[in-house]
Amino acid sequence: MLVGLRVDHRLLHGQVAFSWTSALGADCILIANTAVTNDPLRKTAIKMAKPAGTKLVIKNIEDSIKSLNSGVTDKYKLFVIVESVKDAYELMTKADIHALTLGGTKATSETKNISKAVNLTDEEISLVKELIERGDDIEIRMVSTDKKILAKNVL
Amino acid sequence: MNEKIMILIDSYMEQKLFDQCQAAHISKELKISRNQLTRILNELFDEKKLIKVKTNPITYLDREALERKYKKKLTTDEYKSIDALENELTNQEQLMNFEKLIGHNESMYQIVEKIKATVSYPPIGLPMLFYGPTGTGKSFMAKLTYEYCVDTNLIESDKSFVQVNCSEYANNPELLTANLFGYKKGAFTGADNDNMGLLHYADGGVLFLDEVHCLSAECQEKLFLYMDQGIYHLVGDNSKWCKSRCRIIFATTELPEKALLKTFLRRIPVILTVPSLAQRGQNEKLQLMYSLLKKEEKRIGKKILISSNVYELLLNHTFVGNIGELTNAIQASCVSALYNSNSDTLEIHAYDLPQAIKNNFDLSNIVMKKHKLVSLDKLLPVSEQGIILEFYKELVSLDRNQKFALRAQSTIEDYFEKLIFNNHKVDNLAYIINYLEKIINNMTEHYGFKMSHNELIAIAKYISEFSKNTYITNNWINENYDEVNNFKKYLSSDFHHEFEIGQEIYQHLKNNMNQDIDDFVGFIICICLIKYFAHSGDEMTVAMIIAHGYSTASSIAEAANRMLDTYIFDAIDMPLDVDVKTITRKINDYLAHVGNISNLYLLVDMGSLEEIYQGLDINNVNIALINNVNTKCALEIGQGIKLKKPVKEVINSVLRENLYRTHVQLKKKKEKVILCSCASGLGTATKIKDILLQSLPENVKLKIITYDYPDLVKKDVYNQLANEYEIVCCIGTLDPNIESMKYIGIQDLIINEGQNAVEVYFGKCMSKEQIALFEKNILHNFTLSNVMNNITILNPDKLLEHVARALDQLQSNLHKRFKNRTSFGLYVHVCCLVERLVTRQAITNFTDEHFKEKHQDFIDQVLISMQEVQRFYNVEIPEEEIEYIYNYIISD
Repeated sequence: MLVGLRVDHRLLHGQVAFSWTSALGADCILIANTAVTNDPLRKTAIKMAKPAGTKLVIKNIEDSIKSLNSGVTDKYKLFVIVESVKDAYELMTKADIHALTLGGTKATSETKNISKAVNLTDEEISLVKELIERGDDIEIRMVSTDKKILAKNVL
Repeated sequence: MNEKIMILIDSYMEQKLFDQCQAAHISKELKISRNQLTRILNELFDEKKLIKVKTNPITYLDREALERKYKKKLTTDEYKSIDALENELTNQEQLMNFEKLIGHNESMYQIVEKIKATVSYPPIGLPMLFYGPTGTGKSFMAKLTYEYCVDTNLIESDKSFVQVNCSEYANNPELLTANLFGYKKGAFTGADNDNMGLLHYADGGVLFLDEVHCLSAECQEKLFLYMDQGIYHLVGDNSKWCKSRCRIIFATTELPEKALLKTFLRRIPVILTVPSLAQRGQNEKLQLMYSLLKKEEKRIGKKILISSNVYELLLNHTFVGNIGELTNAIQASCVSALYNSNSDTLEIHAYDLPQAIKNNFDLSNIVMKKHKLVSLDKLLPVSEQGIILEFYKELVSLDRNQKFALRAQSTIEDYFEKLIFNNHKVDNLAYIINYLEKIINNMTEHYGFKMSHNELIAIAKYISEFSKNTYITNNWINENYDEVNNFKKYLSSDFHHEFEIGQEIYQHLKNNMNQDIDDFVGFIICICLIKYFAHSGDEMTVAMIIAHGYSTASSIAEAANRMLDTYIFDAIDMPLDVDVKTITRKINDYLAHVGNISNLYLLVDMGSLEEIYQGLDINNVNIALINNVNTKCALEIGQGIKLKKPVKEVINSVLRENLYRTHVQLKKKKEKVILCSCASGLGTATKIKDILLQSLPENVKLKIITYDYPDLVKKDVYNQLANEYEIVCCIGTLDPNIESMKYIGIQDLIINEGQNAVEVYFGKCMSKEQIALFEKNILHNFTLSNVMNNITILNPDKLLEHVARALDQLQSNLHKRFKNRTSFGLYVHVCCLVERLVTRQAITNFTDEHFKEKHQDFIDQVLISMQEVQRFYNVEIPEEEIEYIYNYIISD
């Protein structure tokens, strides 16, 4: 069962590890990121950051979609973390997911600040809008204790 | 009438009905009285028209008819038997008594001589015992002994040969006693008549007691008296002495000392051991095979051909039952072959042989060898015994002057040519060639000469030929001992090198070939070798290498001889426990053999050997001694000797050439390295390398090399690395599983929990303090590489430095040491926190609403530790964020 899908450019660090997993009651974290799967050092770092008693799986986007669709993840309370809106869009459209939390994304010269920690490019904004139009539930929330802000209200 | 008789005899002879050419039959046929006929026959005999064959009764044959038919003059008028006559006509001489014994002038010679002497011993010979395994021909020899006695008039021709096989009576010794000594009527149940006994019948003749070990003790005792005095009692009549004198022969297969009474044995002065078939050698075995097959040929009336396989199998099989078994094998084969034969020849193939012999059949032979049928005549070992003796005689009689070598060689070549030309026999040549080749090859390496293959084959051929004539050559050598010895001395002094090599080869052959080989083999090899070595005629140079150590000298000599392709150096090894006196004696012995020498080079290594020339017994010889012998200097001198340069010149050239040239290369200490390897490619490996490089404490000299995982797994790549460096360990993300290399996964290195990997692997190249620093640095640098990914605005390097300091402070304030895993998480978290604060993204809600009341103490400690960070980045850490830090730390 999917308990949450979140965009966070830091993927797994303190905030995520402790607030979200416990708040969501997740027992398995899936890091869906193609770059990390090819970087053993980052993988190592992420493994080190994982909360005790939680299973951690790191897969590239393609394999993540496959796993989600195949049903192998059904037995877990699965918390999926992606690095970018684009990756989230991929998963949502291809793996039939309809809820998304925007956690934190890096600010760059091409991004607009949407909320405290969320910065999106025009392209990303249009992807989010597309999802909203589809009827998906998209919120902005950094930690589980924050109040949730609906993306459609900010964009 | 005379004519009529002749015609009748002729017609019988035509039909080969020789037994009808006898008086009784002729008289019946022609209806004339026996007396008249006998008279006429004698007349015709006197006129030399008829010959007599002393069969019983006498056979008369037409002389002219025989001579016409066989185109041959008969040598005499009377023949002992039809066979004897036939033998003469078919060109075979009649064999007398022991001449029928194959090997009578070879392996059996000594025995035959002894038998002759024993039976001739006056007045009635001495009792003798033949001892030998079953089937060796003991009975046959006894029979021949009798014939010999008759032929030499030791006994009269009408006296008998009485043979008793004691084993037939083994279960009834009384019966044997009765039969042997005779008995009186009524002596025992069934003794219906007087019986004179075998001793009586043997009187004046020969009594042969076979299997005498079956003779009961009682019977042996009875024989004592007879043997001692020639008297005995008939069984059942102890009052009357009987007399009989005969020659007694015993035979047994059992060890006489064990099988016979000592007292009995003592009365047999001559005990002859009959050799087994195997002991009699191949030559005699061949002759036996020939004669046995010939006998079958005669019996069957077909020409026998045997296959080369049969030949080899018979020749190589060890017949436990000796000649008896060989005879059976041959007869059985003939029976089997006859059954399959329908032409007028009888072909014996391997499958005709008895199973026991076939079992030895090497199947590879069937394929390898051309299947060849040979006639019996080809079996016969060389009968041209003369040739080899002629050859020996010629060699020995050659003039021993300057032309000797040439003449001797051409004599040998002539002989070899004859042998090779004579190549019609099946023999064991391949086997000899094989051995000889191995031995010669070995010598070639030692002495630096190369013998042509043809010559090798010729020598092998000669040895094979020789081995068939061992007996006559040995005899000849013994008879001409002095002459042969002179010849040997001549060769050993004038052709010393060759002689020594020849002797060596000869010894090897002798040891390896299970064959008796005489000295001439050595001589002939020596002469063959002469042409391979330079002989300067008047100038003879000897060069010796003498060195301490168990094979130093011979090794140098061997190497130099080989490189020079000539035999120049002799070597004397001087094991360390041998003194110079012994060595001097050795050299003197050697020089005494060599003969007249002009130049003597002594190449020695050091010490007392440098003065060795002082003890030599030689006069008027140029002596040159050089110390510090080595292969290079030996080569230099050898070259000079080869070119016949004067001694002084040779030595000078050595002095010029032999300065030491040195090149010193000190061994270098292997550099210690850490290998970084990662299955995902060099990129990660390089990152790991960077982290390690930055983490290594100063003064720690460790090289770090990155290596592609797929390369490293290759054995040779690793070996090369291991050769060049001392590999401390391999750090990476996947274990290459190389047994001799330690591996640490990067995660283990960083987390470093439980068994302290860093201390275990780096304990040897770092001090404790350095290890602690290294550990800390690794964690720091690893964190930094991660922080870089997550920090967007601030300078990660600087930030981490601050945060690290702050967290160190916190740890000491809390009197707590975080695990690396926690530290790492906290570093990243706090760095992110600072950036969040700077960008005003702080968390504003508590998870636990009562956190502040419960953990004011912790909040204070954090704030104190973070003072500098707060000041530097101009931020304030909200209590909500401190709750996160708290949660992080309590799960440590």
